[in-house]
Amino acid sequence: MIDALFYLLAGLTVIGAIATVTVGNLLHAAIAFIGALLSTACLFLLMGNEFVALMQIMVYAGGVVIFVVYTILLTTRSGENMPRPPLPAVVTALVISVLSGAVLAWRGAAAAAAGDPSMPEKLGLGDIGRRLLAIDGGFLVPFELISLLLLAALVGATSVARNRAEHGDEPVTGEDAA
Amino acid sequence: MLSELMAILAPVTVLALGALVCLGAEPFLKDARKHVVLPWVGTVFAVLAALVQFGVAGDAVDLHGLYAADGMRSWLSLTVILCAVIGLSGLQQSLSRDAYPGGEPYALTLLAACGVMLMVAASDYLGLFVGLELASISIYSAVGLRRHRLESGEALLKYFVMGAVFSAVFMYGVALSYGASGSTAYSAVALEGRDALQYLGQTLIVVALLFKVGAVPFHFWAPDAYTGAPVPVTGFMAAVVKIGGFTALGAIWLSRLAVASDGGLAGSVIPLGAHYTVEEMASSGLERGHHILIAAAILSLLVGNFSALGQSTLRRLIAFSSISHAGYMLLAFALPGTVQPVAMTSLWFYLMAYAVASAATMTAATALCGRDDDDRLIDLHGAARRHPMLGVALSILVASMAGLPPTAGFLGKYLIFSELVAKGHVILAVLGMLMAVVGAVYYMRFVIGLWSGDGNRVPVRGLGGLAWASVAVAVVVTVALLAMPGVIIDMPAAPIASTAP
Repeated sequence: MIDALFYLLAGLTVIGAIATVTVGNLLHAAIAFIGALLSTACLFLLMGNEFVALMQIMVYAGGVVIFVVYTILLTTRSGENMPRPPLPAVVTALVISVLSGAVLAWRGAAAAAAGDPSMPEKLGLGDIGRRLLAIDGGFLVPFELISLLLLAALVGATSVARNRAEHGDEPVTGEDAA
Repeated sequence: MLSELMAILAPVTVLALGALVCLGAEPFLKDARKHVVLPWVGTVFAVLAALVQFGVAGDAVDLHGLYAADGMRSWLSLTVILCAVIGLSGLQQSLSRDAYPGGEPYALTLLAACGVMLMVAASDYLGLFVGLELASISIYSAVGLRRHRLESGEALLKYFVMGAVFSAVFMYGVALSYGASGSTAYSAVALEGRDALQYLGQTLIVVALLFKVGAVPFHFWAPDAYTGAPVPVTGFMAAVVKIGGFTALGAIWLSRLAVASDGGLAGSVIPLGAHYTVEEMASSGLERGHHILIAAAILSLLVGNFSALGQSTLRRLIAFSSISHAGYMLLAFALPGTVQPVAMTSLWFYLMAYAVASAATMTAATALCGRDDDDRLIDLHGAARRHPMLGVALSILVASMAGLPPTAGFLGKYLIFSELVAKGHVILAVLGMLMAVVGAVYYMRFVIGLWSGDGNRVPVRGLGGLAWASVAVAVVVTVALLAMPGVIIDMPAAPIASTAP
């Protein structure tokens, strides 16, 4: 059962990854990319690494891809019909991905055979959170200080984005800024 | 726990409170009143923060290895607070002259100062990163205050995008270093067989910090960002970003030296005033870092000084000269050729002297610049003859940056060069001195220009009360540091007992 689920998710990841580089529309590519990242996160979940899975979703599927999608939507429509990449580029990309895949498979098989003793203890999501934000020896103080950082970012963004029309100059519109 | 928290974070908290009060009061003030009330509010909180900093200064303590307080860190924090007041008063001059319709720049200045104080206190990469980002983000938006000006928008975008990229480089380095050592402390040692990974991680961290301080070859953002910022912001950012970046670099370097001298110090917090004797320099791996830093120093000295010679506006002059100052400060990282104690005291002294002088120079110069901070050097000719007191203050401050007596800048350069000679790097010392002569040429050309000519080109408003006070304090500090350098140089340095996790 677990094996079948693994092959299903692994297949989805590979299909998503291939679709990302082959579809002609940039937005579709981004969505295929999300699919690949989400199924990778599910693979991590399957192995019992909730924390890594959550990070995968938050940082990659959440942060990075949303940023990419925003960039595509906000810029011109040039992403709708991407030109085919030249053949040498395709060949180079294929060689690099096959090579790195082979290296990973080889090293992974070697580590699995040796039964890597340096494997860290497995921690649940709650344990990691408790350890990170422990009063003694955790990162509680920097975590609280991030609130100042967010305040600075908020004030700074408002200050920069504010329309300066009342200043007696031309207001800066989005098009000018771009 | 509570006493450490107080000793390390109380001054930062007071300053942050000042920023919050400024933000809270801003909407209830008329536009014209904002530039009268808010700088004073900020100054009151900054003075309070300085008093608290004096009050809590004492034994070296640390907060679980994340942040630390010791004598040298406390002097550096005081310098940051002074630079914040100088920056506030300069902004008041510049923004009230142009009737800027908002008061948030004052809060941003205070928040940036908070960030730099956290960078000074940090002894762990994650603690450092929070401070670094707080300072950077506040300063990005302060650079873009005049976004209706083309060069200001350009400066904002370039500085922000470049800064974001190098923040990512920093974080990548921290991740690699963590993977190699299992700890984010400055003084963490690599696990068995992971030296190369740690070296790679630390190289990325150093590269990101070299970008922040504007050292060649990572200086390309500096001239544009400095030119687009309002004049007082240029001085403020030149001062505090250098303090934050170089304190972090120096603290990391000192931690590596400490671990190389005594393996038992691994994972502990290193006080900034300490000195360490490394017996086996060759096997410590420090020499690779030494080569990177000294190469950056030589390049910064050459590029900064020779480019500054040809500049025609004050801000570009300060931008290139700040690159050259990064070069002098990097010379303090040189390792000795023989076995002898190594300290970073000359770096800390140079930092304080440079920061105060550069922030105050730009605040004083704000009064002489035209609307929208028009700062062409030719327009400043003769300005000092109409405001002799301001001219005298500017001359002393610029002399300090040039490294001429009787100022702290002279002693800073002297300390760095004499240390280089003692370490056996005579050629580097000679190069530094030659570059100081080149530096003196463009600095003195600026001062001589101030005192010559008819001085009728730009209507000069003179400084307000707050700006006068802050510039006067800066001049006094610049001279007093020369008269009483022992306060900083001869600081006793007791090692901190490790409480790192």
